[in-house]
Amino acid sequence: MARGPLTAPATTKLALARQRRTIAFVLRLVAVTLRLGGELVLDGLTVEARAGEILLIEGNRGAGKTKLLEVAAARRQPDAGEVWIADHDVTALQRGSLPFVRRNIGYVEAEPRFLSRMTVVENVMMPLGARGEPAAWAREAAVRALGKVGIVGLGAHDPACLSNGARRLAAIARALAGVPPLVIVDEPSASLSAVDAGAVLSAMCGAVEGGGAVVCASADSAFVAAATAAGARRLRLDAGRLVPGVGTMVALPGRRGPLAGGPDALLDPQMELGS
Amino acid sequence: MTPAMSVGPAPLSERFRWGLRLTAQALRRHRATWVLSALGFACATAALAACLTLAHGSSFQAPATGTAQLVAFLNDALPASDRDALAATLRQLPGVSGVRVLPSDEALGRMRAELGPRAALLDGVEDGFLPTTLEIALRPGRQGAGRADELAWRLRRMGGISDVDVLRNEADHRLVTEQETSRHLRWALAGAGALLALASLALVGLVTRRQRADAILLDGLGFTAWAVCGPAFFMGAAAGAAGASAILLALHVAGRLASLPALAWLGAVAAGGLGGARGQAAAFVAAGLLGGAIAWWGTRPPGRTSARPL
Repeated sequence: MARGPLTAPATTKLALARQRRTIAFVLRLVAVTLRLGGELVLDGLTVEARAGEILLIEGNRGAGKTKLLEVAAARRQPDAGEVWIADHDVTALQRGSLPFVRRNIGYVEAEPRFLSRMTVVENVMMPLGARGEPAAWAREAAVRALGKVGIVGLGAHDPACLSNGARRLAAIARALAGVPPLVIVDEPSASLSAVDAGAVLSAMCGAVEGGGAVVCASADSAFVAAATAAGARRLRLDAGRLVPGVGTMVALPGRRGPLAGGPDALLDPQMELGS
Repeated sequence: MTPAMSVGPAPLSERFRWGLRLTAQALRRHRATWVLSALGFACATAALAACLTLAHGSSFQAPATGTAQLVAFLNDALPASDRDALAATLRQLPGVSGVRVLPSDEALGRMRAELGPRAALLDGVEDGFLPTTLEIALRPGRQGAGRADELAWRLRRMGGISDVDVLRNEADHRLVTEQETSRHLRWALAGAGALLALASLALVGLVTRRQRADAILLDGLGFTAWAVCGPAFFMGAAAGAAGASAILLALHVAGRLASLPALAWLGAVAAGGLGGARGQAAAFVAAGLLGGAIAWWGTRPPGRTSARPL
């Protein structure tokens, strides 16, 4: 099967080729399997995150949370299964098309990395640069995102000089800058004080209220409790499998391919499987 | 309402502005890398120029007084007209100062004279015992001494010539030995220069590789391959061109200094290293393209393979 690029083929002029589409942005992983070094890390996972919700993935160390987020963020190719972001199966995309998907995902990895010898603000601006936003607007959005997590005063610092907690906050600000449709955060409260973790949760709720989807993995019971109280949907992962009875997702046998009915099918109430 | 998802390339003007911004940031953040790259290319160009100079090494060696003579023994069946034509042709060759036809009887008489009291040994020898020969005298100098072997090799393959002897005096033997040693030394030095050039380029590759982490990060943020590698490509090309230009400029300055009597040898060195206008242009362009290619290679996004980071 030919793998087409992500860019819409309908328009030919470069200036017109860019489309800003308002969509019901949904992440859906279908029967995702991942092996690393012969070990099964993700075992046929089917997970979806709808627009306007926080999906919280719990699990012990080694449960596969981080790998699941990497797959969901189009950072890692699964061995089997499909990863749908909006109406694109990223596992079928060409390598050159992945940046067009990634620029719509705010991703915070377990150990945040920054561009060296650049200020925090410049780093937070970068995702907006990838989307081609004007630099002045990107700076404004970056400062706004830093304000959401309470470190606007650190904007002129070099990330290398910041504490682990401040670096994590800066990474979360980078993920939230420009209100991307999908935000994926690995351990959002790691290295953070209760106050900072609260600020992060507030910022995530703000992103959800804006219509985005937030997927995060956490082993911090306090954060999980607070997020649940804020309306987050919980899934529990154990040894690469979803634990039945926790959360709302149970795969329906025989139903593969979430877009059989087109992108709108993602909003089909019938897709809400189990409860 | 869900936030807008942007697919497809950003407007060209914004991409250009962000490209300039990324290039400026790459220059600012990796100054040492680019300076080292330019130095590496300067070393590589200098090493290659040294190879060129060494390849033309004999052009600036001091003249010598070596002499050599060839004796070509002609077949008996060679007609006199062909013999004279061959002699005339040999006289036209560069480095040949004279050709003399030595008939058989004259050669016999010379041998008798050389034998002296033992000339009686040749009594009873019939006419034509010795073949007609051509005595070929080469001009003195290193070129002439070196050319003797080459000319002998060619003559041995010509029709009408049965054999060729190269006659040298002691000084000529020393000269040939010296030339052989010089040739081996030049090859060794040229090889060392080429190795130095490769080592310099490897250094450029290594220092450019330091930007790999940044490239992976930008790739993860959604920058396209051009946005990730483009700035590095242009900076690498600039570093390569700058390094090559510095050496070419230095050779030009050396060429100018050669007008001073004490530094005349510099002229030959510079001329050998510069290799003409085309060579300089080729070196400039090649260094630029090579620098860009190495930088692109160093910062290219990782490939997409199963179960590995994208």
